[in-house]
Amino acid sequence: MALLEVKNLVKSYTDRTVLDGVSFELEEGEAKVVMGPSGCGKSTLLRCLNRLIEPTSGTILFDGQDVTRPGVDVRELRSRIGFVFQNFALYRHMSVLDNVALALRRLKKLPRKEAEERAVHELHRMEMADKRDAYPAALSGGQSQRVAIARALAMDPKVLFFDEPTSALDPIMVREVVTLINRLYLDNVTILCVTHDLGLAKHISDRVVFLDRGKVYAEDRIEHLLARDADPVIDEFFGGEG
Amino acid sequence: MMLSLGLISGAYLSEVFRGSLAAINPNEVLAAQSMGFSRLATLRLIKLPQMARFAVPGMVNELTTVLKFSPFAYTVGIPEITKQAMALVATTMRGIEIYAAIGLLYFGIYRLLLAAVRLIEKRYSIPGFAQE
Repeated sequence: MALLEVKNLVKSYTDRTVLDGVSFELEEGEAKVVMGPSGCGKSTLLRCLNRLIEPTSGTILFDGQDVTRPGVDVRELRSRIGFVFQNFALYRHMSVLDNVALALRRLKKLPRKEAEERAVHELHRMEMADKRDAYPAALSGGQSQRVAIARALAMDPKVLFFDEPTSALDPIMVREVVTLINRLYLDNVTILCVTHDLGLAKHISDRVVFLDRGKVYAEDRIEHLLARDADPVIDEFFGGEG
Repeated sequence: MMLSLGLISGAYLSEVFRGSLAAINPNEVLAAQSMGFSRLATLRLIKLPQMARFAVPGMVNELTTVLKFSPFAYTVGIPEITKQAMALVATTMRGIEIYAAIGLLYFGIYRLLLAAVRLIEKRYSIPGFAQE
């Protein structure tokens, strides 16, 4: 059974429909990328999946549980999903260590020492342990994103969501972050990543879900999508990069 | 007088707090919620600690304004420092000494206030934040 099963997901606002019957599955240990033109509903999709945005209709099965039905503990659901944002969203009044340890202490109720040991372990994994006492304002974009990933990993989530993790970074930092996400991919961390970055998609994904105007236009391996020269929607998006 | 100063000050302070709430990065709030923090925990752990820091300059500004306008209390008959000094000058005719002493007193109060504010700002500053 898939870890995440999305069936006919719809998100409508009064004047428009952002997601129009999206369905796909994500297996445990799989890395899947969601791509598509701006405004096609990629970020909304991620936010619907952990109920930061309430879907209008459809079913989301996570770890065998229907998380769209009423009465679901949304906070417990969110604590099992790691979320990495485009603009890092580190708590700027806290040190790097406190950023990573906060949820462990407050949500997992670990004692301070244990939470900090686990936080340092995750910071080591992201090669950021030497910056544990620094504050977010002193970090580069790439470093901030690595801390944000460590923060998400610290909660030991079943799946990691990335929302455009490289779009706020310069090319050198992109390489840095792509290498680390690739390492997670090789470690069989389950990943669902929204991105425009073809390089990132090539490095971390098994398959790509291609969204267009709120619908799944195609789902395939990246090299197969790139080979679809005759498909005007896909060819326009990739700009002949295949 | 106390009530009117309090009301005016309260109105200004509410704007100070509204501004400091608006200065919080909404993505930090979103990040906290996406990790499973409740609204209350997000308020306590993410919003309030930052709001308190952002509000310090505005709060001090308002406090000095209140202090500055408090001598006007004498116009409605409240015997505050300036009013007492005026009465003393009328009976002793030693205006220069008395007003100089009052001036020094106000100067001292402001210096103390300033020192306290600097201490608070230093103690609770967010390292590197001003460079952002």
